[in-house]
Amino acid sequence: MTNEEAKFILQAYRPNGADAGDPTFKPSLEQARQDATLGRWFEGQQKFDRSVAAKLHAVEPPAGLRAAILTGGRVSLAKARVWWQRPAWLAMAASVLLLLTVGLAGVLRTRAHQEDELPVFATDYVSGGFFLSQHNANVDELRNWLSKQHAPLPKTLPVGFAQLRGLGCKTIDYRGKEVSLICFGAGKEYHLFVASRADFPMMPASAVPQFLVRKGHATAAWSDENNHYVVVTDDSLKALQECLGCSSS
Amino acid sequence: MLRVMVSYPHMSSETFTALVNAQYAPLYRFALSLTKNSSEACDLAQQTFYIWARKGEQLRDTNKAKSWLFTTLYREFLRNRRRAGHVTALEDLPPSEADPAAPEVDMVTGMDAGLVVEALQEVEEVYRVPLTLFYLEDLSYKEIAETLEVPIGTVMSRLSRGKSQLRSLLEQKEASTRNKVVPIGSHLGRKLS
Repeated sequence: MTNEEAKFILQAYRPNGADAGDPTFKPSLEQARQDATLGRWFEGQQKFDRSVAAKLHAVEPPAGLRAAILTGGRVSLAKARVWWQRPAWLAMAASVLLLLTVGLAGVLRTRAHQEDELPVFATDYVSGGFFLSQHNANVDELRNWLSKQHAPLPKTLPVGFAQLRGLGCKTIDYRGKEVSLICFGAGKEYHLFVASRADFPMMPASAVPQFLVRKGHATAAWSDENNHYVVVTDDSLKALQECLGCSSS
Repeated sequence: MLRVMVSYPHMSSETFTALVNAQYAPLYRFALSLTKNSSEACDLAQQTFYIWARKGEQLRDTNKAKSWLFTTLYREFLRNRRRAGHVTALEDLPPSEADPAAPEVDMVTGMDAGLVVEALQEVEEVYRVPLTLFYLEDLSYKEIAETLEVPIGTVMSRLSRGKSQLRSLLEQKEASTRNKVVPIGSHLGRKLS
């Protein structure tokens, strides 16, 4: 093995010594012990790598990230684990059929409650600020892009949207399912979230828009036969109701 | 290659907490290197653990959890970027560079950590990804190859070129910093003379 070949291998040797037991490095390490020039090169390389690694390890994650991961993960764990995997069930199986029924009902209620939170999620998402994946004033172009992503799409929209030009779109992961976000603007912004009913069967469906004002945003939620919709806008509630053809005047 | 299997006993909340405690910081650092954006890095780290919570219990060999997390985070990053329409041909490599000169160890030691990380983030992505995994020191070169789904020789080659680029960038940054600094002694000397 030439020194150049040994260098090529040794530069993959981690500076914390974790690769000491890897036989791939043994011949090259031995050569570095025997050859002073190669030995000096390896020593310098390891010092350089140790310095860079130390700087990288000095980067601290933002405060709150760990707690956010743990909270989100525990919720997911609770959802992912099916009832028959729980050890407690094995002990109580003979006597608690009624409790199981109640428990399952509770799970279903919890799931329905979680799926009911799309308007809350949508207002939080808009309030927090976000980037669009596609920018285009042409809504047909946005529709084409979302179609290519196999994201949920509205067949029709309330007539008020015809007055709005497109801003852009993206897809979002919501509870493990893909949700489309199409943004419109004409002075004020209207952000339309589209979720497939097949993906969220427990989500309450209403053909009549339900309105809500949260975090300074007017929000409306409704459904058709295929999708659930939520619109979040910085426009007034009255303007949103007019856009959806729900104005009382 | 990712090995998702069945029959792993269900994961307790304690196991999940221990895994998060051990891996969330290195995963965040890896994500930061990929996205160059703290909030996107947080999202990516959270997304990875979310997927673990849903699917990780299928992993039979718990020793593979670390590799699984890094692999998943990298795949999610690529998936998000494909959706965003920014596709990079990872194999579209520039011409190979000459054998790197001896590294300036003292220069790196004395540099601000933020500046070193900034230089690392400016390394071309195709080299930056394996290089960051290497410097995080959690994965061996073989595990890096599995994570990125490239041959071992490719990882070694990319590490070599990546270090060469990093060294050049560090030298540029060090020179730039040096030029912005006015030695107090010489400044006073001029005033007094």
